[in-house]
Amino acid sequence: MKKRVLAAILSAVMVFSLTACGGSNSEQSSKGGDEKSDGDSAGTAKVSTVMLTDPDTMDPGRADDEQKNAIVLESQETLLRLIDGVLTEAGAESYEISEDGLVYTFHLRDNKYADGEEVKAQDYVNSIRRIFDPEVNCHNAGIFYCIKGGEDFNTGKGSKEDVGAKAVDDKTLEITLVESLPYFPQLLTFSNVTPVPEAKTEGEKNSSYGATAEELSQCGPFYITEWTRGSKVILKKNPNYWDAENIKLDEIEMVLAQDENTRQQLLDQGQIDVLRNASAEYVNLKQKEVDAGDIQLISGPQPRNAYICFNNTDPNGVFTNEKIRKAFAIAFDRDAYAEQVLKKNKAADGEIPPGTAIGEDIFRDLYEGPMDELLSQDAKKLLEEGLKEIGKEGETLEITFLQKNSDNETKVAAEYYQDQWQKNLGVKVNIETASDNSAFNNQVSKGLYQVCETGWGADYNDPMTFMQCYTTGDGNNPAFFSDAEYDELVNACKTEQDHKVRAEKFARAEEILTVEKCGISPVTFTYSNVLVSKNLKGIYVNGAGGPAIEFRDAYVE
Amino acid sequence: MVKYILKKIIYMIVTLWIILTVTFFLMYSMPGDPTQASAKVLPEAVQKNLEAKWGLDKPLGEQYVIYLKNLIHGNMGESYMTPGLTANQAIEERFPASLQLGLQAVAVSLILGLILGILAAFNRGKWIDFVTIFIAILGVSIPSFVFAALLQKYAAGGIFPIIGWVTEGMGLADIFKYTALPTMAAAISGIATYSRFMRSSVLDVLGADYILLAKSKGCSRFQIIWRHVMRNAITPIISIVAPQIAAIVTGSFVIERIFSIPGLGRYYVDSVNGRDYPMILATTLFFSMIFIICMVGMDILYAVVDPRVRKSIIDGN
Amino acid sequence: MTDLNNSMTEEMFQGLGVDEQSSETLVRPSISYWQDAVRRLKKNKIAMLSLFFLIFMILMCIFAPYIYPHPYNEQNIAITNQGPTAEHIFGLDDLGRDIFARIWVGGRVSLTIGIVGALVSLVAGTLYGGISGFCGGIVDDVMMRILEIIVGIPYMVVVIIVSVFLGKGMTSLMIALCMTSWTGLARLVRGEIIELKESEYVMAARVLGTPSFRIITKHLIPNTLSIIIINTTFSIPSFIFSEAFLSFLGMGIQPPLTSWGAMAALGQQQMTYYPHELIFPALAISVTMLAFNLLGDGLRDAFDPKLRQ
Repeated sequence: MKKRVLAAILSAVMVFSLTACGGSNSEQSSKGGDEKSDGDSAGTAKVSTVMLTDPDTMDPGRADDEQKNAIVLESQETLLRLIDGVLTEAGAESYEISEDGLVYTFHLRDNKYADGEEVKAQDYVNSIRRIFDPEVNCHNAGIFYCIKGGEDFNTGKGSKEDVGAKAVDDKTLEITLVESLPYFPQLLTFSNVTPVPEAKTEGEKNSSYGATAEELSQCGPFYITEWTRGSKVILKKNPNYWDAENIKLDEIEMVLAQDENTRQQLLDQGQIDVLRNASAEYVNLKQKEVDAGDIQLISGPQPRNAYICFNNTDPNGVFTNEKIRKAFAIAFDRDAYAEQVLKKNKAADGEIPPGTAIGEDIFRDLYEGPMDELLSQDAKKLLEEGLKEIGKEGETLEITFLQKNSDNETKVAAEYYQDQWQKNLGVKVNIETASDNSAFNNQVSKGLYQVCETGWGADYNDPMTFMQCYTTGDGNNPAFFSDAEYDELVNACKTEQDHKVRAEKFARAEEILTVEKCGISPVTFTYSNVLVSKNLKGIYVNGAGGPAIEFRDAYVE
Repeated sequence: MVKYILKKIIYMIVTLWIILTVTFFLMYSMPGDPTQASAKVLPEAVQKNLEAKWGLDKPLGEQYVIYLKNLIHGNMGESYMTPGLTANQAIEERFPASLQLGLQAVAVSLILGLILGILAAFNRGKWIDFVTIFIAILGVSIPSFVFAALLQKYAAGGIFPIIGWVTEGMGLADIFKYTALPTMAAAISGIATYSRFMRSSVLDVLGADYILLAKSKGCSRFQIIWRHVMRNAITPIISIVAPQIAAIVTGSFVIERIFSIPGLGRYYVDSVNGRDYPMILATTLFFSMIFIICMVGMDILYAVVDPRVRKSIIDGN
Repeated sequence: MTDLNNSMTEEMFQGLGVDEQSSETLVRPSISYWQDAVRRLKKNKIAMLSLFFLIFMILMCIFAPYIYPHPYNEQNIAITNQGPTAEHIFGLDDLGRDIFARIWVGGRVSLTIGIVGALVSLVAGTLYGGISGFCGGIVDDVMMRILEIIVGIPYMVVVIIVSVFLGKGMTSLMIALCMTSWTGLARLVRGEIIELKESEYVMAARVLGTPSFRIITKHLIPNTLSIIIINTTFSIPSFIFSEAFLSFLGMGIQPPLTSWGAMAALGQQQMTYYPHELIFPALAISVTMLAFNLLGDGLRDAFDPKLRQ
């Protein structure tokens, strides 16, 4: 402590002398920006990128957001891995599916943890059990209820031994399902299904595993060598990785930068090599450099949408009416909103975003969004009819829009809808702002709101991840939408093996959800921009499944 | 003096207990709970599991008693967001960065603020006075997040890292590099405030008879400033600096967020947003303790600067 | 000569007697402390200029929205973020609303909150600190402990709860703003009073039997006025920014209404591309602050008992 105080005083004096000298160094700033800092000439290939949020734990069992996935999936090996968008065998050398589609048998590769230990099938079993372990509380548990015995263990009715994952021998893993999900292999790209030796999670350590980097067992292409909570994570190449000879990067540095301006400065001044979620304005500024080949721009659709969420069980009895919901869905201009207000993303015409695959195909290539016909109807007339139906004919409708309070964007969105609805429908719109995300989630999940804007990002690459939410009684159904035909269609898609038939059913369900019943109304599909320094090649940008940016095959030219 | 310190410690314990109790019950009446902190809704079974594990299913009064019992044994609980991380560890991890940044910022702003204030007072109505007013107005009416962003953009110059903080085993030069920008960003409002207060209280003192006497005795300008002006003008500065030290060493959310400093200020805000109850309580207790210590320090400083005050504050009238 | 001498008789000289009352009268017309202060303030050109400027700002906030052709809430989605033009002299914001119009509407909120907040904490802080410092002893102990408790309870938690239980109107906003703002001034005043009450002239006044109330109002407050004024003028921008923070948490003003702080916070995100969205609200805040400070300086000089001639 004493040393720190001394250091603090000394550097305070130095800071002081800096200001006393005036801004003599500001002149160099314009030049400093062009220099590249990557790759020391000594030959170590190092890249830097940013973390958008601060990871709270490195336990694969608790990796439930984009940022934690981005780290865990580089430091851990999944059974299957998305390589350039293609599901490829990784931790498993090969696998077989039983005829009824219920039993998966994986033959593991000879892989080792960074500390030299052998990766065994039992380690995968352990992590699958931990998904359902009440002590671990994996937020994705619900997605894996398709594994036999998982739900029972999770809800306290069964034991961990009954979970349908078994090590036949050290190199053979068997997973048994309740129903044969055609998209089950997609779920194996989750960071939750990465090996953790039982010895590391015994007793007390079961819930505390992952609180520090030192205790981690890591068998991925890289491993975490340093983790300063609230600041940065450093990953180094794992020499014991089964494919280590093809891993070309020596070090990945991930620095936390939660402020958009800061991130742009970092890229401008050459302190990072990869910037994801770059804003459209910033990309415009950089366009010249992109055209000149000084920096690479990777843009494309992300399986994520934003939608107007009507409370179908509106306590005020307004949005319970289908026609009123439709009127509000129609009465604003999606294109103008995406292009002029957000200046990013694209207007949505359906629930399932482009970039979502169904089998070998992209869903949106098979079926176009169903909403165009609805949007061409007369909103005002629908509203009048709807008001008549709920017995409020001729009244000026007053509604409250619940604004999520996370950033300026939600604020702008709320004021845009307010203006549009007031202007185009002649209603009065109040804006209620939730104090923070917890308060917002609380209010929405209890149905204590009328209408809000929210969104959904894919957990895995199949339309099911979007469509399941709006089945009756689902925990992630903020609209409280309920429709018998919809439920039947979506549930049928869980076991239907023919992707052509599934696609047809999904398309019909989507039409019910967004057009016929208009339970929710999608507004935008997400498009993301990733800026990459010109020397860095071989990185993949993933949507659902896999880390947001995959560095496994990256190299510095 | 011993009696005085003892009295203060007893007061502190009582005050902390009241703060703890009020915070405890307020915290539980916030909308939302720890199982709803993430956007994804947890399966009901998982929510139940969590509530049982954290003891949230017990009546509130019982939870309070359990918390107090644990606290007496020095156990402030474990984070909900990061299982395995105790509150003590979190503070140990996060406080040093906030402390260092805070001390540096206070030092810089005190030195610059006092000098500017004295200069302005001695040159009242001249250009230097207006320059300091100008600096002060800018310092206080430009929000620190804007100032920090400007520093990152124009002052980094490839020499100073835009983000990041001191790590173990760094040399003095590196420490300086990493801390320079955040320190300036955190110091600017202090410079503004101290310079205005100092200018004003120096002006108050300059009119006093003893200054005239000192001048007529032929004391040098420096001697007058040091021996007479400083001593008499410093009281308001003490009143402002003491609590500000408490606020600033426990972390500034904005500065820590923009410069990615692993400090306590950001951690506290994250805890509130995540409804991480044990961490909210722990950081609140810690902050309050530092604040109270600074208040005691302030009273002692009054007495040191002005011995006349000693009897009314320390000796207890 | 002799003649003259002789003509001066005893009768010519009469004792006037001593008028006890008029002997105390001073030559200069008696003006009170406050009258003198006002007189001196009027002579201070910079302070008067600042005062007129502030009055101008207030008048603009009241009337400009009625005169200016573009309403503050009119969205021009086709031309969002446009820079200043002849049509929209301060440019447009991210929903294509006129920034000039919004500055004056926002000024209503920000100036009201800044001034009311500053006055509330001025009164509360001065009284609290004054009583605590003057009484000393057990009163001081208890009052300072209460202050510590108020500062110690986490502000964010309290604000979220206030917004839940008191709704999200102007009232809960003012409560949230003023809850802790006065504590700084209270500590300052207490510190000053503790020091001043030991000074010789207060001792003299006490020995002469002056009542406590008179000591406080005649000796202690005037001598602490300068720091009170600075603290108050300096607290105005912090009210303006706190309001922006609280608006963000959903308290206070209803969109599409706005305030300077909220405009600056939004503009900061865009400052690299659309600097006008930050510069104009920031300028409004800074210029107003400058005027408040210069006026404050003038007041300080006017009220300073030591500078009284």
